[in-house]
Amino acid sequence: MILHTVNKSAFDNRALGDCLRVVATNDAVLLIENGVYGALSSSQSEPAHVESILELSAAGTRFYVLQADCQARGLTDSALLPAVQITDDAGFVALAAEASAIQSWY
Amino acid sequence: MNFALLILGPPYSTQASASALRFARAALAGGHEIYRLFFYHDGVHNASALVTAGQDESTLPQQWQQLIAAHRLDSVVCIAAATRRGVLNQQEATRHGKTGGNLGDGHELSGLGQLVDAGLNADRVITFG
Amino acid sequence: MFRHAPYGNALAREGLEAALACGAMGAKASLLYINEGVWQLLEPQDSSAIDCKNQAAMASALPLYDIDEIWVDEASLQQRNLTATDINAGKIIDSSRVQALFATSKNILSF
Repeated sequence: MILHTVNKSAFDNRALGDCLRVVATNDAVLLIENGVYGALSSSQSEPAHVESILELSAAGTRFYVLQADCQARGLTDSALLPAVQITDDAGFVALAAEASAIQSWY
Repeated sequence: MNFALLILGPPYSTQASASALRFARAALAGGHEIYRLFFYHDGVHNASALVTAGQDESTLPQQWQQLIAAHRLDSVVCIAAATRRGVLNQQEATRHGKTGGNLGDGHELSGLGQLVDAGLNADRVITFG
Repeated sequence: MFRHAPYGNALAREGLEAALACGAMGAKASLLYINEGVWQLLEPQDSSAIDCKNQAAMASALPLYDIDEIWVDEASLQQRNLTATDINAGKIIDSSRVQALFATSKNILSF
């Protein structure tokens, strides 16, 4: 399992799309910093990302957002895609330890 | 498990350094070890002792230093990346005819070999860019 | 892993310096050029007028350091209308081989 971190908003940067194109079904994707905007369920302008997340999630890829980064930006739990789990710093560390390697998309 | 952190972001301009600091704290709190911090690219600015904050505030570089001191972490700042961005220890400052060094205590200026070593010997390397 | 274009910021150059350090220490390293990173492979480059080290010239030293596993992401080339004849190094691989490269790497340095 590879842990992919993405820290850029899907609305102004291709990091999330670039990540989703090569992510494997047993991988995990953690959205951090401005990356958390990619987890919004009401994303009208970037439907491709939402579709990819839903497809990959159905196939087994796990998706996470960092709680502190959501909270800082006013993103409530209910605004996020149900496929995305909320984790904290300890969860980030646990994912990194579980992964065989970590790839950062920034 | 031991982690090595590759920190590429400067303090404040982006969130990368703050994210790395939180990760390091959480890793240590979780009983993991930090094999090495490697500050590279614009991340070298985190090692500047001249970064200053308002009263009663501790700066991100100071928080790194506190973590390094409290846990006796190995913190390496890439010497080539640092000197070209104006982060020098006293020895380098003297060697290059500069008025004074500004590398914060707890950090060591060294080469990229220390990053390669971390890649080989840490269980996990994580990049904060 | 190189995914940023050269010259606009120092990531490409400093990533390459890290790769050369791997080679100098005899550490086995595979390089992956993906997304904007594929621009690093374009020839000819002449950076003299912008006062930067020539990235292509630096990269040409890689084989001297025994770094010969150089991979280039196919889709990234296609997105940029580039073909094998436009790039100066590397073997072109598809997304499944990119996944396999990640999966078999001990660690990934992301530049």
